[in-house]
Amino acid sequence: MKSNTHKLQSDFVQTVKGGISDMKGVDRPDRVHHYQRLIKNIFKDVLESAYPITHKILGDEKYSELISDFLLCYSCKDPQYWRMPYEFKVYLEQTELVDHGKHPYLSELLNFEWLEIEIHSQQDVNVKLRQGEIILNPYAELLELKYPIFKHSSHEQLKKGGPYYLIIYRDLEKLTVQFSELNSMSFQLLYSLKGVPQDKDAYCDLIVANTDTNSKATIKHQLDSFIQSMLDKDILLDSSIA
Amino acid sequence: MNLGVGIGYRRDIADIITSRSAIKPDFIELAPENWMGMGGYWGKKLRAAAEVFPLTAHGLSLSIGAPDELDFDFLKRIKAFIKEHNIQIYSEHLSYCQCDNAHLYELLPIPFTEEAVKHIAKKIKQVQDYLEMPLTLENVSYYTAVGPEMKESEFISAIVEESKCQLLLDVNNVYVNAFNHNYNPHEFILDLPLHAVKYIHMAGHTQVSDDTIIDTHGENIIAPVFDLFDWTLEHINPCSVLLERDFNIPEADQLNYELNTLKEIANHKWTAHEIKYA
Repeated sequence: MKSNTHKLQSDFVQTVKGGISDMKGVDRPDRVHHYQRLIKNIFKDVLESAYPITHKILGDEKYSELISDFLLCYSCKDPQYWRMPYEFKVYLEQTELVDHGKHPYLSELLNFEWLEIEIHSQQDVNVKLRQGEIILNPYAELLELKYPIFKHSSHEQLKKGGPYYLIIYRDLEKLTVQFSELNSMSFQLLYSLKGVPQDKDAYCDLIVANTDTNSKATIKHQLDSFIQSMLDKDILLDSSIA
Repeated sequence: MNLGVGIGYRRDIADIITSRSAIKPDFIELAPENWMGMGGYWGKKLRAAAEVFPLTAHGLSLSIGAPDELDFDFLKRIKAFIKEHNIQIYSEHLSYCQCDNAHLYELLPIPFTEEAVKHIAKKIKQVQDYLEMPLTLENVSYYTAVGPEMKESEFISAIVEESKCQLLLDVNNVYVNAFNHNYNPHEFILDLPLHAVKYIHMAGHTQVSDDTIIDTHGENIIAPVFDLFDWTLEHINPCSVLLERDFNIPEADQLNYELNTLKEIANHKWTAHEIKYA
């Protein structure tokens, strides 16, 4: 059972969330709206900034309604408020206030927008590579998507089914987040370089050996070019830049 | 500990602070919740700033006044952050932003009750034991009291007495609360356990109606708040002073003016200051 003080605090929280309208014990009920406004602004600012495309597609009115419902019904667990948009993403994926049939791409779009934040902020890691080794940028996510959420921001265009392949990653020089569309082969190649360093020559030899073609030299050349272009973009790392 | 006069490290002014070209604070204060676990662009900026300035940390989410028990996973990360960046002072708000396992990210008014005093003092001791350093708690601005059994100054005094924590005296908050709740700010300050004041905050505010001021940190410091600061320094030992500016950040000239005014007042009041509390 809650103590009196605990009950006062629980009731006050429900009051500022908008769930109780006439709480007893509040000295200045005429000022409660300041708390309501301040809290709503905190949520609004961070959630509009985190999901600009989702916000645009759903529209101001709907997005504001969702933020209010999130505030009232969801219990944010993360003490770091800049991570609160992740919890909003989880909430939006589940809430019945969004017509998911009308917006089938929403989950992918939210994930894409959240990854921009997460990859930008992700804690730095120390990558050590030996001469000749390559690895996928540790600040990168490979996405296989049903909808072109990285290309368009209009509802109709977003519904054009895929598949689409995408990498979203941190540019190690500018420390900004970039993304690049891939074909399915590139996607698979990069996926196989995730997490574990590979000797570049041995890796290429293995790929070429497993290719059912007579023009292995051409494949080797194309593979070398592909790896170099990925190294140039910081999508792959080698010992010179890791 | 007297680090001089510092400024809140905000992303909008990160570069001009670190370059020390346009403004020259003695130290910087940051909110650990905004920086913990942060790599990439902002992690690099923080490391650069930490090489130039002594750091203090002013937390947002400890929620010491919450009915909930402490979040030791969070405290563990705070402790690591303090160690990593050699944080000199860890301060927090005498308020709560979490209740019944839900964060609201806004500072809410604790009911001034005996029950709250006991509960919060217990939590403060746990924090101080865990972090192995003092917790310095700020008097917060509030717009309504909730079920009070005692005066605000009695509440703060009881918590300091019971927990032996330190006080961060936010002079602007005293001014705001005195205006909003119609009391005398000088009498309020004299009612506090001034021996425990180890840190001062100064900021601007916004008057939104005839009888209400909101503590926005979004305006310049007004003359009556500078005057209250000047008067306050006569009653406390020398300590670090911080200028907070979170929104509507002005040109460097204005920030310099406020930093320099705070320094001038502190130098004037504390040069010949007789240490009042051992």
